[in-house]
Amino acid sequence: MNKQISDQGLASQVDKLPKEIQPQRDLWSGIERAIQGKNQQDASEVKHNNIIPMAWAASLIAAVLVTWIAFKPTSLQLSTPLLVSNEQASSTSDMALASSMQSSFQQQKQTMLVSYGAPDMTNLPISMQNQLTALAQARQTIKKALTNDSTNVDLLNLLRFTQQQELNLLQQLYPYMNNKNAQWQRI
Amino acid sequence: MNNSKVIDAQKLFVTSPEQELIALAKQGSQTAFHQLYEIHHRQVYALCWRMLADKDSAEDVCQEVFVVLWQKINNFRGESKFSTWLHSVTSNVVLGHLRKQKNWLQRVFSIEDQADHVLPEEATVTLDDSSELEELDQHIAKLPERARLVFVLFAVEGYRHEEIANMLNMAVGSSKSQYHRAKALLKQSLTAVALAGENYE
Repeated sequence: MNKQISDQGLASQVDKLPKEIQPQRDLWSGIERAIQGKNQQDASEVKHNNIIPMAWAASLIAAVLVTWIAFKPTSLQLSTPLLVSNEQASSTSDMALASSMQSSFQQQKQTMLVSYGAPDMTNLPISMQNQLTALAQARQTIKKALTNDSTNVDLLNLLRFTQQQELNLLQQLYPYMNNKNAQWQRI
Repeated sequence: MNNSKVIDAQKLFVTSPEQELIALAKQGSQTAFHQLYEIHHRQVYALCWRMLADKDSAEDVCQEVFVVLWQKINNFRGESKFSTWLHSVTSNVVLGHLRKQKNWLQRVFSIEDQADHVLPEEATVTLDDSSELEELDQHIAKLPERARLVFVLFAVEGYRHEEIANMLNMAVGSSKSQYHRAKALLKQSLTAVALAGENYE
């Protein structure tokens, strides 16, 4: 008559509980959809994550290329620095630095013209000759100014810049120097 | 030394075909994962059902467990049985679901989670889908939530009270007392059913 369930009775019933229960509906289709959605999401995230470093790398390469193109030394330029530092200016006495720059420039210009076969500059169009003359005059003016202020870094840099412009112009004119008027016209 | 122990454990606990399926699933094979699902989903569903005592929630959470499993399967290193690991994943997903549900209820009804007796006593469920369940399962489902969770985790799943206390964020003593409470309630309801049957006869 005693129907009270004991601890052992309960434990026995617990042991008999099925380890598995079959769900009433198909659960896999929902899981499959969710998994595919996650995979696509992950793929897009991976793609997105790849784009950022690639963009950074591309920007870096572009920046390096631009810098290199802008500052690359031409074959005919000497390895002298483009700008004159304060140390250089102060360590060189009076007009020595300016003279040294001038003689260096003349040497480069001469070397360049010799390498081009000593072309006749008078073959150049008047406008080009005028430009070269203007650069030469500017150079002379700066040199005069340097006689009063020989350690002025700005003037020294300006001299260097003018010299460089003259050399660059000559370099650009090189393909046309030894040819006839037809090629000059193209410039 | 440690590596050889891990390899031994893998050989000991994971049967070769299952190990192969796990390896393939880790590489992204949905076919292998589907086979793992076919092997384990009834056990996972049983645990979900017993902890949640609700068919619809159990089905939803069972699906969630396998989605989580797909994402986390690379975390399984074969140091324990796959089914044991899967059961712990399931328990965590179920408890996370309950926490979310409780937070939602608290937000909606502005109920503060003050004490044990505030929510769980009302958390018993009315079964409308119990026809295929064992009699004991039907009684377990009617237990208050905390008592039910502790009973299922301790008596059915074999967790220790320390582990349960950690999982349910309660004191070990509370886990033990909830277990005794669940046992008393179950014995009481099973006895009542037995007496009713006797009277009917």
